[in-house]
Amino acid sequence: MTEKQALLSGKSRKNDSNLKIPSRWIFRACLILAAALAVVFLLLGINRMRSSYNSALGNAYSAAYNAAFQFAEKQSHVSNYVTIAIKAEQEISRLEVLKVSDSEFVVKNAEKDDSTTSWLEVQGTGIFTVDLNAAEFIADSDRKYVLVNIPNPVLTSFEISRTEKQFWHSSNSPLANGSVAGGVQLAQEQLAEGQQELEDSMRQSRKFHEAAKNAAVMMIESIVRSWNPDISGLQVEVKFIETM
Amino acid sequence: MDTVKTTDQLAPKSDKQPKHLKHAFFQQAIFALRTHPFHDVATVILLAVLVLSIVFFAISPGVGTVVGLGIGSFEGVPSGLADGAKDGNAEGLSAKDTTMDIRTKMVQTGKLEVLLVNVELSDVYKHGEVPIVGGPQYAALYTIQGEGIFSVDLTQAEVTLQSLSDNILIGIPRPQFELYIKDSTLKNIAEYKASVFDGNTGDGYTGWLNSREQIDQKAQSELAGYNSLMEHAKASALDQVERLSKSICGSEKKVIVQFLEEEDE
Repeated sequence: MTEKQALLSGKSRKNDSNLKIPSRWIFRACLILAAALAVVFLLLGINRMRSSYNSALGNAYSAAYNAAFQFAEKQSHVSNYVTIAIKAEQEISRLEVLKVSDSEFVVKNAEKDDSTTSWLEVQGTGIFTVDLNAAEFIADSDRKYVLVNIPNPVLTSFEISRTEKQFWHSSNSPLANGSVAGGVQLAQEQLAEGQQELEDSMRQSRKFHEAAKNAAVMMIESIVRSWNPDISGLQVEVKFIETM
Repeated sequence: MDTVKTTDQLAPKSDKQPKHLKHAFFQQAIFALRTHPFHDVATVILLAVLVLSIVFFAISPGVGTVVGLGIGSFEGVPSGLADGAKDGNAEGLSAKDTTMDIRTKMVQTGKLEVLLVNVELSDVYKHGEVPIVGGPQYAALYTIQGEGIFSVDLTQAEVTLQSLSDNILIGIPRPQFELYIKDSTLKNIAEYKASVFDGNTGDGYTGWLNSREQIDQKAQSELAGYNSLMEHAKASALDQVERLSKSICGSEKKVIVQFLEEEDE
């Protein structure tokens, strides 16, 4: 065997320093690096698989959701076509002095459906006003004194500001769950009853009337003084005209 | 006879390794594996341990979960159920879910109502659709009365005394509109009910409550933006405030009433 052949077969050890053969540790390091890369690619592959799974799942969910949403919306679509007719216009001169709020519970069963019970909380707002067309202003400029005679405040406006279903029970059976017509009628009756009860309650409330009278006095005194900026120390007296 | 060259002669003086020597590297590597088993078994074991540790790191949460579930199910579930039921019952009966809200409120206001508008709203209400056959589950024609009021907030008025002429200048804000619909005046003019698939009470109830809210908001917006009414309200406001000022200030003083937005122009 020639030296060359011996060298290539690895059997010759002569003059090894002249040959730049990498050590076996470099080879081992390459093996370790290859193993680590394999693990990294495996983990990345798992991650990609998971994200594509979630994406496909989400798309399937979205498609099903949109189809079901459109069908259900069509089945329960409510529309209102409203026309407004202006019957009359009237110029008035009423001073709003007090705004009051209160609530009432209206309990009712559906008329043709005994299994449906509704407890509706109706909240309303009322306005107490003083009719200034019936007011009388008597001014004494020498004594810097103004007497104002006004009628008692009255509740002139009311509106339902908010409703809230506090309790509702109805049958889940498709054969005994009433009808849309029954539900609409029940809601309208409760609103009308709630409005009437609240309005009557506010109108008859002594507490609200006293508060309205106090507010009227304060407001008129303030207006009279501020509209006479040239008179300092102006005295204002407000009296209520007792109506029969 | 071939000439035998020494390794000096074989090895070139430059740093570049000839191809046959690179080939020698791999052959020597294989030779090393075959001739030094101890070192290379260590390499293989080291590699195997490394791979196994990485794999274990990846699967350890899952392994822990499975074992925990298994042991927890055997020991923890029965006692957890009993304790949870007892504590949950006590918590539910504690009535901590109690809310308070004061509904009765009073607020002073100083608006002068200048124009009252009586309106009648006519509403064609349609609800749902009957499957296959088509047409609404319910339809009705209603009328309902309301009152619209234009008012001027006198608490926002600005009163100034013109020093040169002793005139009183009263600046008032633009009238605001408020609509008051009376539910007690609702009349059912006509209605249609589907004979089958006529819906349920709950849907009808919710549909009307929401409709009532929408009608209120949109009618309010529509009337507030109606120019003809607003112009009438503005004219009435100027007239009413001027009359009131003459009563309050005396007829000998000259009072000028105008809108605050005109003062700024």
